[in-house]
Amino acid sequence: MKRNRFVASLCVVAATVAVLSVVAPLGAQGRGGAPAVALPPEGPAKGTIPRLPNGKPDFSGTFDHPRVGDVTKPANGCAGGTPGCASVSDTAEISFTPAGAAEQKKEPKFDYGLFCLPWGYTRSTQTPYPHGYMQNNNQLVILWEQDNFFHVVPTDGKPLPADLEPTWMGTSTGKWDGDALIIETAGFHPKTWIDTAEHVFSDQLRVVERMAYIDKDHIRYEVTWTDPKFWTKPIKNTRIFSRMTTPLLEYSCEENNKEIREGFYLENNPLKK
Amino acid sequence: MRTRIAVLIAGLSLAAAAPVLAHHSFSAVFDGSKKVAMTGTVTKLEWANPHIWVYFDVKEANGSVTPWQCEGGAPNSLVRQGWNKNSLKTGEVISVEGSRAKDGSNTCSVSSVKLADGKRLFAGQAQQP
Repeated sequence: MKRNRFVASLCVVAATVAVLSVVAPLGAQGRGGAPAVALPPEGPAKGTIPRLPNGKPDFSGTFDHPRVGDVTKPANGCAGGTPGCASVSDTAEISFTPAGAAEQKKEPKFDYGLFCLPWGYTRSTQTPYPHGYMQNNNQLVILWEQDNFFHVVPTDGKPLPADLEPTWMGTSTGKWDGDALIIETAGFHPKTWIDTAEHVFSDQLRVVERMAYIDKDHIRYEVTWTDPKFWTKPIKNTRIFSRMTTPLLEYSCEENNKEIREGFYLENNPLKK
Repeated sequence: MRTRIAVLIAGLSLAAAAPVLAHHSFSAVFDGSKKVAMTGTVTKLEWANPHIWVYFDVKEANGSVTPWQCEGGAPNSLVRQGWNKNSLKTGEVISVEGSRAKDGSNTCSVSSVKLADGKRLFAGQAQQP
């Protein structure tokens, strides 16, 4: 019953988000940082939630997430059809530094996803396909159906090294704030985008995620991107993930990538040069 | 069957017309302003990542046959909706709407696939409750 009420309240929020995204001009959607629609604030989880042997929340399982193609826009519904997902952005318009604006304007951009390269850390959680978690006392492993990629987050709270090797998915560290897990990730090379809207970033990108159970089947997830080289203000989204009862599936991007193999991808294709 | 390849009104909203693509941006490969609509006979269904592909022959007014290939959704998404590799069979007649590839080849991204009886394929749940 509680779950039904929760899902019903989410539907109201999601419907409001959907209506605003269609009818409201961009300027009305929280330009200047005010959220268009706020999701419920973080609070103690309702009911009993799964816990690790050390007593901390256990997020293990498969979760559906909203399909977020553009981090400056809201999204409602789960990509995989599970009830209960939503995403709200408090950043209706990205505030670029001169260097960031110059980089963002460059066209055409290299569509790395078309070449089946990794989607990048946060973009992998915004795809049409769900993700999962495996967790123990010492680490959280993120499993993305997109490209069947994974990422390991130690949860011992050790600070990130100052000088990280640049990677597609960055290097993460996790720490607990009560029942909320905070993940900080840095060390990205700027070969990916933060979303499908092709928002670029620099090697100074840092990502902070905060995840906490709303109840045993829903996670409240905040993600904040900071990049002082390219943006004058952080970008922030707040989302809800919904537990699935079905497993993650195989996804082999290379299997039948006809766009590349048969060459009808023309734009900025290095194979055509 | 008569081929109907209509280049429709340019300037339609790409966001409204473009299907959800998973491994590349729609505009990198397809031109949302170049709409195609045609009827043909299925020669093959390729059920593979990152997208399924439907191959079909379109009979022209002069009797010649033009082969087309059109890209659909990803198998993992379609499987979750109840579709599978047997949902479309060789020899079935389909009506396809979509957007043509930028390179001008007989390639498209589908927005709609319908059987002769009007049943829509690869959209929504395969088995309605």
